[in-house]
Order: sequence, then C-alpha cells, then structure tokens
Amino acid sequence: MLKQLYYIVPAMLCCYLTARAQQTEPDTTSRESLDEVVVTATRTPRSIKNVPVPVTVIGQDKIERMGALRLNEVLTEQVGLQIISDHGTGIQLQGLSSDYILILIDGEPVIGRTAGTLDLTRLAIGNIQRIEIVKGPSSSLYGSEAMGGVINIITKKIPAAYTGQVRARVRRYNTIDLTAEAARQNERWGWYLFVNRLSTNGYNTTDSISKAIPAYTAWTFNPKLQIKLSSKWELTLNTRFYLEEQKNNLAVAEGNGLHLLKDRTRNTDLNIAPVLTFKPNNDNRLQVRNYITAYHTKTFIDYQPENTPYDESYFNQQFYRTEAQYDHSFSEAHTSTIGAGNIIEAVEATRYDNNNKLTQQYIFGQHQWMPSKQFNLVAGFRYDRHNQYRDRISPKLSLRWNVNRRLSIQASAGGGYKAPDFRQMLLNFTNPVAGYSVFGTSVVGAGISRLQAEGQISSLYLDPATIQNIKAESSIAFNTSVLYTPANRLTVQLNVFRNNISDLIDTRPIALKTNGQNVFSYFNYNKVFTQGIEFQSSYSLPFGLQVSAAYQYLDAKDATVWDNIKAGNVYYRDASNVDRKVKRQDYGGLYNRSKHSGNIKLLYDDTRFNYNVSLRGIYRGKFGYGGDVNSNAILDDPAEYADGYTVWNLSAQKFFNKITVEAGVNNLFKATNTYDPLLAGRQWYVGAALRFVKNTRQQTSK
Amino acid sequence: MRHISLWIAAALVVTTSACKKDSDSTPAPLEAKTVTDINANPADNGGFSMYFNLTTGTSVPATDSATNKWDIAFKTTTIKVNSGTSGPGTASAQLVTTGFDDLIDAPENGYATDGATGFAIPAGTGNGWYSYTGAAASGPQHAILPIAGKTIVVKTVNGKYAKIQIVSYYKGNPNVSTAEFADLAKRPLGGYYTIRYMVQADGSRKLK
Repeated sequence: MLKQLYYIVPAMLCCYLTARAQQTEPDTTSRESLDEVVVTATRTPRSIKNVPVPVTVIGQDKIERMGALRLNEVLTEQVGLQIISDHGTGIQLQGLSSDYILILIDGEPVIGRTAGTLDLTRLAIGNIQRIEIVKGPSSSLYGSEAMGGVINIITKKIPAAYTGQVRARVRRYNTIDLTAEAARQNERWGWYLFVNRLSTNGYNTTDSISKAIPAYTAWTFNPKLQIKLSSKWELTLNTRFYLEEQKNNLAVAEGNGLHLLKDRTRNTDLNIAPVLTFKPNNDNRLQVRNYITAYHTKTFIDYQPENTPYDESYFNQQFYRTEAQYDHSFSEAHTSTIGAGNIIEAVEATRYDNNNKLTQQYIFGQHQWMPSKQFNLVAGFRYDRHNQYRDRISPKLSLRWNVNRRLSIQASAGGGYKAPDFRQMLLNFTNPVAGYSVFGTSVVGAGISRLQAEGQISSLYLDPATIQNIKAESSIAFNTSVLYTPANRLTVQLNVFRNNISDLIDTRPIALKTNGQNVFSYFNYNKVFTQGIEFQSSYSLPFGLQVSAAYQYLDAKDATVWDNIKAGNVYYRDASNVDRKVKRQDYGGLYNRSKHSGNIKLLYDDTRFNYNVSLRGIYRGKFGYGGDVNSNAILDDPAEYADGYTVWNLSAQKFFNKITVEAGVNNLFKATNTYDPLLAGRQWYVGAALRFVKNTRQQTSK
Repeated sequence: MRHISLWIAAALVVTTSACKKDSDSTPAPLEAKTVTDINANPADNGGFSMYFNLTTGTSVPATDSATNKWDIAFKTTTIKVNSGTSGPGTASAQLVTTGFDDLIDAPENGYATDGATGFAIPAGTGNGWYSYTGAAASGPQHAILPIAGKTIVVKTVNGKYAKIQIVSYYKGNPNVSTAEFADLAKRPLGGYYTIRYMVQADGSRKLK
C-alpha cells in the first residue's frame, strides 16, 4: 500500500497543478446518493440504520422549504443546536461553544475562526445536498475541534442530465440573494458550478450606532469537477471561493464625547480539495485527499468624518493537508479503516510574531464489526502529534443494538480534544493603555527574556522555564440513544449525554512588571462538564401533515466553580454589602446556555396542488447573558439571566412546472431579546426559482 | 391538651434561658467599623500612598511613612502592608476566600510581607481583591469591582489580628449596578476606598 502512495502523491500534485491552471473548469464530487446513507459517523458510506452513533440528517428539501440563506438559519431550527453571537455567528452544540465544533465541507475542515467562533454566515446553502450532524466527540476520526460534534456539509452530487437553476430571494433589510447553478455529467467526466451573491443592509436591534448585523455583500463560487480515470480510479476536485465586504459604524469615547468611526472588513476564503479514489472492487477503497485552504481578513477602522486611520488589523491563515485513507472489508462482518495525514499550517496576524508555522502528523484507525444484523460495534482511535503542544490519543468505542424492528439502542464513549488556539500559543501583546502583557505559550520564554533585558520585570511568580508545554483541551464523553418506532408513522428518540472536559486553557499571571502590571500566559487548569437529555418525536399524519417536537434539557457547569460552591468557598455580595455563601441551587452554570430549549414544527405537503407550508416555533429558555451583578463573576443572581423567547417562522412554496415560487415570514411575532443581536425583527421574504432543464425537479418530499 | 401546652411552655422557658446563659459566657462580640472614602490617589497625596492605622482607625500622614505608625497603605488598586519593601514595620497579611462575617478565626499561618516577589496582598485583576471589568459586554465597563468573599487578614504592626473587607473603590460607595455608574462620564471618582474592618485587641485570633 505504501508503494501505491508513492505514486499517488506526485500524481495528485500534478492533477492539482493542472486543475489550478484551469480554474475556470468546473468539477464535482461523487457522493452516495441514497437518502439513508451517511458518511460522517464512520468516514465510510454506511446506512444510517447501521451506524452506532446518532446522526441527524437535514436534507436539501428541508433546507429549501425553510427559505434560509445561510447555514446559521438552518442549524438554529435543530434541537440541541443554538446560534450564539460572539465575534461572529457561531454554533453551540449540546452546551459546547463554537470552538469545540468542527465544520466540514465534504469532509474537509472550514478554517478562519475569530476568537474561536466560525462565522456560519460565511456558508451559503444553495449548493448543499444534505447536512450531517454527529453530536458528541469524533476526535478519533477528525482530530481537534471535533470535541463537541461534527457538522458535515455534503454538497450536491452531479446529476445525470444537463441541468441548472437560477433562484432569487428578497428579504427585509434590502437583503437580496441570487443563485445560479448548472451541472452536467458525461460518461467520463462531470462538472458543477454554483454562484451565489448575497447583499444586505444589515440591521439594528437596539438604538445604537453600530448595527448588530453589518451591511455586507458576499460572493460564493463553488466549481466542482469529477473525472472517471478508469473503472477503478476517480478524481474529484471541489473548490470554493468566498469574498465578503462589510461596513459598519462604531464609536469610541475620546475627549469629551464619542468619536464616530467607520469599520470596513474584507474576508476571503479559498478551498481547493482534489480527491483521488481508487476502488478496485467493493472490498477495497483507497482515497488520497489534498486540501488547500486559506482565510484572510483585514479590517480598517477610520475616524469619521476625517477619514484618518484609527486602527488596522489583519489575520491570515493557510492550511495544507495531505491525507490517505484505506478501507478494507474482510467479510460482511468486518471492515477496517486506516489513515494517515500531514498538516502544515501558517498564521500571521497583527498581534502575532511573523512566520508562525505549525505542523501536525496523525494516524487513525477504525474497525467495524457486525456480528449479526442486530449488533454492530465500531472501535477507533487517532494519534496526533503537533509541534506546538503535546501528543494526543483520542479513542472511541460505540455500539448499536437493533433490539427489534421498532427499537434500537446506541451507546458510545469517546475522547475528544481541541488544540490550543493561535492566540494561546502565539500571542505577543502589551496593552498600550493599561500596560499589562500577554504571551502565548510558544513565545513566553523569549518574551520574558526580552522584558528582563529591558528591565521591565520586577519579579517572577514562577520560572518561565518551568512553564510546561501546553496540552490540548480534552474531554471524555458518554452518549446513549434510544430510537423507538411505536407505530409506522411515529418515531421517538431519546439521547442522554455527558461530557467531562478538562485542561481548559486560561490566562494566569506569571510575572510582575515594574509598572505594577502583570505578565500573563496560558495554562491548562479548568474543568467543565455538560450533561443533558434530548428528546425528539415526529408523527406523520395522513394528508401530508407532519408534526414534530423536540426538547433539550441542558446542565453545563464549571466543575471548579461547582466544587468550590459545594465546599462553601464561593460568595456573593448582597445589597447591603455583606458577603454571603452561594447556595448550590443558585448556581446557573456556564453563561449563554439555556437549561430548556426546543422546537415544534408543522410541515404540510400538498401533492395535489403542488405546494407546501411549514410553521416552526423555536424556543430558547432563559440564559445567563454574561453580566455580573453581585461581585462573584459567576451566574447565580436572577438579574444575571436574559429572558427566554420563541421565534416563529412561516414559509410556503408552490411548484409549477419549471418554476418554484416561495414566500414566508421569519420571526412572525417579533420576538426580541436585548442579549441576542441575531434576533432581527419580523422579516418577510419572497423568492422564485427557475429550473432550465426538466426531469431533475427537486421537489419536496419526506 | 392543657397539660401538653404547659409542658411546651416550660420547655420553651428552659431553652430560652439556656440560650441566654450560653451567649452570656462568650465575650462581647467585636464591632466591625466602616471607613469611607480613603483617598488612594497618589496625585492627591503628593505622590504618596494613603497610610492607615487599623488600631486607631485613622489615616497617617506620609511624613510618617518610615515609622511604625501605620499598618496598611493604599495606592490606587495596590494595598501594601508595613513591612519589607513597603515600610520598616513587621506587619504581614494574606488574602483569604472566606466572607468577612464567616471568618471567625484568623488563620494561624500563611502571612506574608511585602517583598521582591510581590505584595502580601496580591495585586492585579482577578488575582487579588478586585476584578477589572475592561470592555465587558454587559455591566459597567472599565470598573474596579471587589470580588465577593475575599477578605484581607492583617497582623498589625503591634501584632494584633485584623480582618478587612473592601466594600467599594469609588467615592461615596455608589451602587455599581446603576446606569449612572455604567456611564463613565457620571461615575464617581475611583481610588476612594470604603472598607469594613475589625481588630482583635486582645492578641487572640478571634475575629467575631
């Protein structure tokens, strides 16, 4: 197998270079087309009925009928997923924030996070065939950031016939979304091209100078190419280009009042993924994947009306990955997967020293065993070594028992991890106003030496040489799921989950400066846990009506704080300035987590007159907004919670021969919340789509 | 029925008198004193700290800074004790995570003096007695707020134990949850300490 690799890698490079020279040529990826097949849970195409971890699949028809424009709008309607605004529009999954959730496009990671948040508004959805969501850690397959879960966007497969579509949607706030796509498949090769332009004026949620969502214009291009080299070899090239320009106003307190500022940000995103697949027969498959991705963001902030510079900052990230994966079926019952990869990552930013190169190598292995139709078991591991933090092994064991036709049980235990972020490794920052300094763990030694040489250090709290190599944040998680189909039209699913996360990274002072301020660096010291129950039920009534309800109970706590509360070491300051012990029942856990959340959906499909209507209510219970009113920096006072709310979205589609028209209202009853800037007012939308080739009508169906 | 009531009444009398007896046997509780607006801004003090004597409950002029007349000194957010690098005295201190009222006995060990490795009462946000809110997303920004449950225990220059709660860092001990406090233009001046403290004159570690 190694020998084969030697030939394949140079071949891949060649292909990549050629492909790059002909970027105008579109491409594609071959994907399993059966509705019931999923790829994310085991990295191999498998029937959803035979994977031992629960996988949520959101199909193209569901996405289209929502009238959604970006990924965040789709994910917000799923139970256990919460959209959180924090340096961008991020996802929280079973209480774990965006830092801990891996987002993939056709199996390749999306990069470019700001303070840990991957902004989901960068991801257009018109090219999506389905979204697969695996909750719980999948680091044994995907490595860092797959601690809380994996969201894999599977782009459209190339249809057999020449086909295409144009679509336009207009929404409140002068939001215009235009999409065009076309695809063609021949015997030997196929191509797909997707272009999207989204522009909006953005909006204010409060009477402020800055808009909650800024005005922006974004372009997405997704050309794909697929070549069948022979009956055994296939090459696919999936590429994506994204360009976004946004504008906003800010204000800064200077002198006697506020000075107006104008913020201009440009984000660009590039993904190139050539994949070579060798499938000599049904029992063997070798895939070599190359992935090149880059994310750039640049921000200019200028004084207004003078137009003189106030601040300028940038962040550039490049990520190159080569990965090989080999799957072998020994028999019906046994399938093994092994793989290895190499990652080279480079990052440059305003507050980092230059030329930061990160390298990582990994191997992973997995074995799937199906002793009978009733049982299946998957065991896997992944070993990662990295040049900036300690080596790491992530195991996972999961099993499924199909008790009978109506009942199945899934259980899994696994380890997840998240690499220290760039800031934690590379930051080299001194606050010009307050005078404190912060160093990442990779640069702290040099930073302290420099400050000492400059006579800026008054004393050291600890010897910088003793600062250990930082570890990745890690978790151990347990998931159990019961799927029950009491009647043919009714399904009930119950998930119970628990995550123990340790070695959370935070700052600690390491030295005192002569100016009286501290020098900080990053350490692993904190622990949190999340646990909860998720319930989903769906009932298909006759006449095309489907009713579903879902609910999540979540308990997410800082384990260190929780232990201190139990030991009686945590206080709050009451109204008369007396310090009192925090009672256990008053501790609300981590901020921005709702103990209760859920949704209700009514979907109606009329096959006689070819239309559909859907009404969805999304409930988010009260949550800690991050403020502290009683001097203990934890969530324990009723005034530290933001109220819960329910958003109702209504949408409808009507299909004519080649034309679809659609309309809807998002946030029907104008739910608002001071602490959720993503809650816009009531937003109507209308849209139309035209398919220019028949027989590929992607009409809604269950 | 009447019998039972009588018994209860009798029992009550006994219990109440028992309680009285108990409290009579302990010494009279110490009194917590509050001092407001100790000005710790060096600009107002000729560039010096504001020196304070816990036994007398009064401030000490800067001209006496090289004497044993003071126990602790305030200079913006830093609190010094009269020892080591800060003064000629033998005072020492530590910061404990116990509420002022819950701290019944001063710890036996753990006291430090001001020295090259730092102050006995640790300085810096989140590290000592206060947290600096910075550009907080909610609540007052750029404010110095005492952390609940942090109590400073001092061994004074004359070897007596004392405990101190920092109540406020702002002039007039304002309510910090108001919109007025959040408004930097209307916020009262900083560097004005309000402290609540208690000194045990008999030399024991009892602080109640």
